[in-house]
Amino acid sequence: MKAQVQSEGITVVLVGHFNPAIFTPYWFAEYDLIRVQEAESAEIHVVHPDIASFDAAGIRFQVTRQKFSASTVNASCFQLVRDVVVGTFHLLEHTPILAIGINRDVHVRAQREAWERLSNRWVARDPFRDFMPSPAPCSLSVESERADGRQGQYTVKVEPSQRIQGVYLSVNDEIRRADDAVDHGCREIIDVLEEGWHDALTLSEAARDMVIAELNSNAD
Amino acid sequence: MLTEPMVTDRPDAMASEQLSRPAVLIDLALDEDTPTVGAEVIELASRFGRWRSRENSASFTAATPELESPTDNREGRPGSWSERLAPQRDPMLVAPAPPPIREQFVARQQWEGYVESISSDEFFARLVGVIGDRDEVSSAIPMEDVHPEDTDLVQVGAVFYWTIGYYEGPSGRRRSSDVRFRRMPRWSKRDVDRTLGEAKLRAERLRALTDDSPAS
Repeated sequence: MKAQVQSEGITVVLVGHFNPAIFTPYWFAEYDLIRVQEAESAEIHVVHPDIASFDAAGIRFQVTRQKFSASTVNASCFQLVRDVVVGTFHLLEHTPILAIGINRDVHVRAQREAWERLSNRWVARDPFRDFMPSPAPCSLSVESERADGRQGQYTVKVEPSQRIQGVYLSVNDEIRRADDAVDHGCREIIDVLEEGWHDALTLSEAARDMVIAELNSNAD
Repeated sequence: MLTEPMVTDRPDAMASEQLSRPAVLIDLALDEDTPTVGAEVIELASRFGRWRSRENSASFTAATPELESPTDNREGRPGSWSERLAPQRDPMLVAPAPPPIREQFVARQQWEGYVESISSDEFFARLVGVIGDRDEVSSAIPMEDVHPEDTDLVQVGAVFYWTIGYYEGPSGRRRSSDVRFRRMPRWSKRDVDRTLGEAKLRAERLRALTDDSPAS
């Protein structure tokens, strides 16, 4: 069986200080960030001074006082997530945002023994055999400093999928607000999100394609 | 330093249709002694169901298990719902393990494009592949493919995304073609005033530079 993507999603997470109560589907439609029809058909889970959570336009919005996240598992909405987040915080430019995470999560359907073969290839087990009878990696996480010199990091995690037969991949592209940032609001960091979006997606696609290629090279 | 989990999150979207099948409904009457419900309780509850709060009461509707994300890897194990809800010590809130995902969208090709010209019933665009084939192509797209709320956005230079794929579910596949125009937030009066102010300032500086320069 050839390894192939079963499902994947994108989430943009902002860490800072937010006012959850203002975020409603109609607020997004009012400012032309989503269609009115999409606001009308939104599924509201909760809108409260401490938390707002609803699905609209194929995106799940979840806002607490410390975190704003917009996520989708519909590939046709990936760019919309970026546009909505960028548009939102161009409007709310005085919101203090400390960090941004651009996350891609992928479940890859593969052979039952795919993870075992992959981890055998990537992780040496011998050093553990002295004190563990049958060492088996259950997750692999790799971090790197950013290639663009900005503060933050890349984190790639690979582990067995808990949802399907296969492997789960998570790519986190984290950008932190520069220590010497002049802007007290969020214009600078939101500009970074807009400028860095393409690179973030390219990086996560490269990680996904690498894992799939590794799985397929091990599949024989 | 920010810890990694603060910025890392997992998609939880595309579960809205499953919310229409409630399993449990609990109403809470709020009084002077307990005027509000803690944010932590609300956050936990909203992960599993639909939370509504009113002036003197609040209700929690435990949703069907499909609420879990198709791409989340943290909550997929059967029984994890029970484990997470155990601290609530309320057996009514325990939901069964998540069933399989019912339907998902698979993108075969996505382009990002901009409008080059417009006729009465179609527009012509330059497209660059974002998913699938990455080649640059030109195409004519019928106006009837544009959502009625997006027709005003069809202008020369406008950016849009065109995704072709299919929805896959237990009953089979159905094709999908989605044209979505990029929406930029409406400018507020403050934005307009500020931009005009900046433009005037730059014009004055340019004028001053021109006035100071020696006559040629």
